[in-house]
Amino acid sequence: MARYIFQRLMIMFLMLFMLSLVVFVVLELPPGDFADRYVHDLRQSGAQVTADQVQLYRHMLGLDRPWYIRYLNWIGGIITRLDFGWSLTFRMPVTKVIGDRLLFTVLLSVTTITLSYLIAIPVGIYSAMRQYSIGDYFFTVLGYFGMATPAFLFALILLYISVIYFNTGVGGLFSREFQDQPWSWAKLIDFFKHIWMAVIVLGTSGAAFTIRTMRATMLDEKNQLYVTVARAKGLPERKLIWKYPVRAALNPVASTIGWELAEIVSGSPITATVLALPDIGPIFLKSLINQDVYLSGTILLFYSALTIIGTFLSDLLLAALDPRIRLTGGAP
Amino acid sequence: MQLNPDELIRISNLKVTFPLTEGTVQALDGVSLTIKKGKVLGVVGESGCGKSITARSILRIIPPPGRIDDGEIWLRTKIGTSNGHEQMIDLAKIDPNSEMMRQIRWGEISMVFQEPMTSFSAYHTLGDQISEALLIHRNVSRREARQRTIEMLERVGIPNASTRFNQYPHEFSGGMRQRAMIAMALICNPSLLIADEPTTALDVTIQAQVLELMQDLRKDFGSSILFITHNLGVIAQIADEVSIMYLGKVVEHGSVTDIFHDPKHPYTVDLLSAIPKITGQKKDRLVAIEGTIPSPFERVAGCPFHPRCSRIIQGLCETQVPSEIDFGNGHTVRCHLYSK
Repeated sequence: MARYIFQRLMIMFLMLFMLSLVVFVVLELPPGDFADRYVHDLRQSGAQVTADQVQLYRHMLGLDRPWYIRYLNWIGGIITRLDFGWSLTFRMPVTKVIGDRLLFTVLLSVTTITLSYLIAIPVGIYSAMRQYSIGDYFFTVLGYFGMATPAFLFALILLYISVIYFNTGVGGLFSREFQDQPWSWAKLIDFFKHIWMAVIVLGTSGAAFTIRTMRATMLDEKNQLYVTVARAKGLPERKLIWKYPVRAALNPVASTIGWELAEIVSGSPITATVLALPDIGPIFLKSLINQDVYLSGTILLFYSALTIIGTFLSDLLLAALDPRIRLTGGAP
Repeated sequence: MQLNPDELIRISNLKVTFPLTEGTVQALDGVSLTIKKGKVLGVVGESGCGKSITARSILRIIPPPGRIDDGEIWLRTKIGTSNGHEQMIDLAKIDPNSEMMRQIRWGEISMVFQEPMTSFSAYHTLGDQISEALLIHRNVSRREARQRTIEMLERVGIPNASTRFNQYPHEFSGGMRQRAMIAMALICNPSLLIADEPTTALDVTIQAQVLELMQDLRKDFGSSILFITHNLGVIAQIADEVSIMYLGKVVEHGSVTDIFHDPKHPYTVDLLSAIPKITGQKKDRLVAIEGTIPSPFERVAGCPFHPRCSRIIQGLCETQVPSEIDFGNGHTVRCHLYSK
């Protein structure tokens, strides 16, 4: 098991490293750079800029050095001192620009994903064990609604209800008094008071999907011979369900955590806008337009890292769940 | 209903149907069987004749939507009584989810299934799954359950049992899994062991080993055995009495000697002549029974075997269900040939 974890961990770091390279190269592909963009904006506003000035500016920013030198500087900074570079657009370190937002995002998505699994898995089991019962139909219909309703529309409906019927605006992540406060216990509680709606909106489609997956796999598993054997053994029904078919049915769910996490984080920019969430979406867009390589690179890297870390978590979970995966080691 | 003192379980007139969308399947059409204490009853029949459904009815684990429509399954048991007295319970009548049924399952009656590859959960160690039965039905500590499981695994011929205890099913071969299954079936020392084609999925040499093991264990444990198979050779080796089933009915019943040396029902006669003989001439072809089993959705009027029977009595066999004729010494047959 330890060897398996070690292997997966190594693969994860290797993947992250290769990803950072790909991300950087892709961002370098479009013609021009931040200096061109900046000068273009200056000229638009009527300023006179000579070619020499552009070159000087480019030299100041270090953009005239070859891409691999800049890449090595960037990745070196990340590895050695968690320095993700300098945002040219915002004129401050990248970590300053998106650090707080990233923390929110991580907190929000971890809360969402945990809750969604905690609710969806038992509901899926219930649906399968009571197939074609009223309860099953109810959750099936609810599940399809959950999957079919666009998140932003769902957000609007919830906002409407909370404002009209409960007279509480619940946009954003904090009450006004906590907005610029440093993190504290009270701020954390205030955060959770605010994110419930975001959790519902972001978690519903994933939860609905998990319910369907769980139901389908449970339907497959519950008629397997080993379940009949366990029943013939005189195991009480409830205990038997949780011990045997659920264990097998969790596998497909566990393997989706990887992209589920990334899905929730990247969310839908429209949902984020509707709920006034401090999402990194808008910043990402701006950084791309301005060819702000370090900022957009960091955000891209973050998105991809989530998928990779999620996959790593999936692998660990699967190994914990399934002895056959555990014992065969892992990738050669 | 009173069971005779030497009887452990008596099934009478058991009817099981499966209401499916394509039609209703009458899986068991009035099955009657008796298993005596400490004896082996062999049940023989073609695929689809209801052998496995009979076995599963006893444990009340018929796959849905199957249900028992009629009949009785009387079991002699000490479960549910105080001070060790025996009582008779009709398993066909009690709720399959009741505490009583739960205690009878494996506590009194255990079962070895046909497919050793899928009988165990792939996610739990074999030791866990076997000792679980002990922990449920016998008042033992975890350590004791482990100890007894390891002893049992050794008893069924699994080497390095204490290491094997912690291994998963995929680390065992088919034969070894079936041995483990037998260990699990015997771990609570049941009064009845149902063996549903336990050797069918194994290759021939392993079949012989497993069969030998079962005969061996039978002497030690003294459990009654309901041995289901389509292989008459196996029955000759292991059974005391034999019931021949055809289309959800028992058509003939008798001691092994009676069935093999004095078969009455044309179906039994055909089955016996279908056994390949190594003494035959090279030019002899294998004997096969004419025709095939009718579709499960069709109900055959009269004697179920009449469409394939070589000795059919026209005008009688197609219309009237033959009643049971007793030849004495427990040898009974349902066939018009013998009615007066």
